[in-house]
Amino acid sequence: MTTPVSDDLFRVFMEEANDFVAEMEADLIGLEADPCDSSLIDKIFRAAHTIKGGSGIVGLDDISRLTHIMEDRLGSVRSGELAAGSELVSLLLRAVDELRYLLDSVGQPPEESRLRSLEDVTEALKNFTSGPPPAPAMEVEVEADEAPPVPEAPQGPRSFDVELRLLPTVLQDGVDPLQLLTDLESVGALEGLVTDTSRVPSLEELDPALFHIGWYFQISPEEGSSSLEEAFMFLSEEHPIRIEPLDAPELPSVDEGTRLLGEILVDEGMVGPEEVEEALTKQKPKPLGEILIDDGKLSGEELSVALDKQSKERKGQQKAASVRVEASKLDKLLNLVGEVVINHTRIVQLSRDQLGAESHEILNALGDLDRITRQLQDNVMKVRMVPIGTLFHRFHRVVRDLAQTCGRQVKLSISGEETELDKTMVEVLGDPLTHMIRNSIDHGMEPEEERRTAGKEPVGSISLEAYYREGAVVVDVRDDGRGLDREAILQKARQKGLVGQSDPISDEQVFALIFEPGFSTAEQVTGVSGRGVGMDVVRKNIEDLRGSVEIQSWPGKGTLFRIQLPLTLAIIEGMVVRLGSEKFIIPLLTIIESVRLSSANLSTIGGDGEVLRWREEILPLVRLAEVLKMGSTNGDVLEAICIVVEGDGKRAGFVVDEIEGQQQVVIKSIDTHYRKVEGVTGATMLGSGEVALILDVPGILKQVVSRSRDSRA
Amino acid sequence: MSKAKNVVTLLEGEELARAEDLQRDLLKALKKKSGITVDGSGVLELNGAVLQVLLAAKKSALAKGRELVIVDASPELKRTLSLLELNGIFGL
Repeated sequence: MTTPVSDDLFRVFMEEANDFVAEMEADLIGLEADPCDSSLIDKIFRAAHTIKGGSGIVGLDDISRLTHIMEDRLGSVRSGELAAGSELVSLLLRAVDELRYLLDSVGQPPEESRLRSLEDVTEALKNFTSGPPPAPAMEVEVEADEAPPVPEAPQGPRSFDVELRLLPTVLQDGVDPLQLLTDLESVGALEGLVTDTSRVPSLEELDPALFHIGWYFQISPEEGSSSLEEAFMFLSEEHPIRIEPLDAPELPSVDEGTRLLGEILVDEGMVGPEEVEEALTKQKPKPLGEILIDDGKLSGEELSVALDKQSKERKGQQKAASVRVEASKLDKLLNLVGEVVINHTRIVQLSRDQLGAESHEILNALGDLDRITRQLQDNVMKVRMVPIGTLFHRFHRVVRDLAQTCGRQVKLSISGEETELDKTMVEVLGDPLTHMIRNSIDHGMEPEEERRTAGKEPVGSISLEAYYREGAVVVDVRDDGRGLDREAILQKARQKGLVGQSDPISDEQVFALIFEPGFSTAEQVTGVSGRGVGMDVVRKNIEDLRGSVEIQSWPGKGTLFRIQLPLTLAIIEGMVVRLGSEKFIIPLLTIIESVRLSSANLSTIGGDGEVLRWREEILPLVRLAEVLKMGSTNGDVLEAICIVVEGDGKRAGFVVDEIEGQQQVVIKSIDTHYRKVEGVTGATMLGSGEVALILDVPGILKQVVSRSRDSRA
Repeated sequence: MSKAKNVVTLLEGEELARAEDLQRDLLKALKKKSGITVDGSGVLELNGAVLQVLLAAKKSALAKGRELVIVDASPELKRTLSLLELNGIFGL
């Protein structure tokens, strides 16, 4: 294929292929746990097939060759010639790694070592012949004669009427329409095919680069409508292709392509078809599964496995109903909507100020507009949200590989995968989570023998859980390992001078020490493992997302990392404060409370260091006007207000002249238009039209703490 | 077949370039007064661009009252044209 492909086509391929690679990886891990799961084998096979087709179109021959051999081996598994044993799964996972590398390094010269590794995997897959198909489970083998026959699917494949009309420029995208038809033939027989040549000009008028042939046909995809969609996956949506089902689904209450529970139970050999039939006659008003359990023909565990499979199939179907949009287009849209909100607020204020009481009709109308624009803003923000599950499922592989390397047995459980958060956050969160999980397995998880002695399950457990709480997303990373060693951490922190020899310090503060830079080295804290390899980077990554992380740990029982993140990066809840004539925003997430300053809670230490006595703590008092180099405001501190803030594990009191109120603000970056300004993360426009800078609370705290340390030194 | 007078041979090659070359050859052949014979023996894979040139040539040939047929079609060519129900119009 030497015809250049369009950027759009290439982008679509790269996005789709990366998604498929991630899915394949998760599905291979699933297959390792259940080598007989035919739906997983089919799914992995289809993913390899689709990447192969797409890579051929965009001219990525290495990827095409590798996926071809993967598809070939998976085909043998499908036909029962090969078993999906852990040796083959490991080999296929290595192939997935190579695929990921090839995708990441498109356009770059390949590294010699990677080429060798690609060659090794390809050869190993080609030569992989060992391993007969797994024998059926023992009880089935014994009663082989009585094994229930697998019934025909109650619904035959659905048929579709297809008008394949392509944009005249299709050839310039490197797509060969005839190849597309050949691919479609592998999806299902093309019946009643008519080639429409009416738009083909005479030879004299023809520009061979423009394509005018169309086709009409009917197709009945053997593997459901998704395989038909996959065949068109690498075509831009602008092609006027029409696909219409010829028949309505027979059972509208069940998603097309999702097996009914009864079908899954029979397919998996859990009950016979006649037992399902019998139960169905009794079904109303009870669900099928419950009746079978009541009749003693099915166990609760078997039902839960089957329901899980049904839920996965439904999810797979739901996923097909989505459209890919470039993230930058959404950013632009969100930005514009943000501008609309700001301008709307300005208009409302101006109308109030200038029109007076008689303008209530205008103000009413503006009130309606306000509601609509805020809904618009919410909806656009929601479009940027993606389920965290895509990220979570990546960790099945991380856990599997690390557990193998460390000689541990670890099980990963995931919940709340449907919790949505901003796409950018999901991308950035990958590294910190990997770090935490690595640390949990490497340092926190005891060897099997030690776990048994401690009366624990021999297989360690790590769980990833996401949920919403108080307008934020919380991600919990929990393990049931040995827990953090409080004394060892404290000892090390004292050695490093991070805490005084006799400072009273809470568990929470001790555990937070592992996030200190320099604390986290590969060096072991004690004989019992210490955590902390690069944990300062973990906290920084999370705080860059305007989130926070805290640790709880129980000796011998495990550790919990709790990450709290805002729902979106584009809008924050902020407190508008005044310093002199300027207004600033302090992110609400960093504020603990505001206090009036008085001689009772104010002291001076060592000449010029002002401190605030707050609850049981002594906090540095930060005169913001000075830190932000605004000249001398906050003259009489006792006239001012103090806001107690927290960031990066540090606390302080910020002195401001006035608190104007709380409001949602749309963040505008100033780095891109100006330069990075110390103490400031961005800017926003207030309803009055004034520009307010958003304060970088952790940044200011860091600056203040290092200054106070310097002055003490 | 190669001894016939107005023969155009379908060759393998890069898709669009192949179509352009074929268009040039067929335009030349159309200038002659005899019917056109396309030798399809060397085709391993037919692509959309080449097929379109063949269809456009068929259209032009018919407008001039000439014949355009494919002879010695390779099995691959026959298979594709028959999938597209186009074997008849090329005399296969």
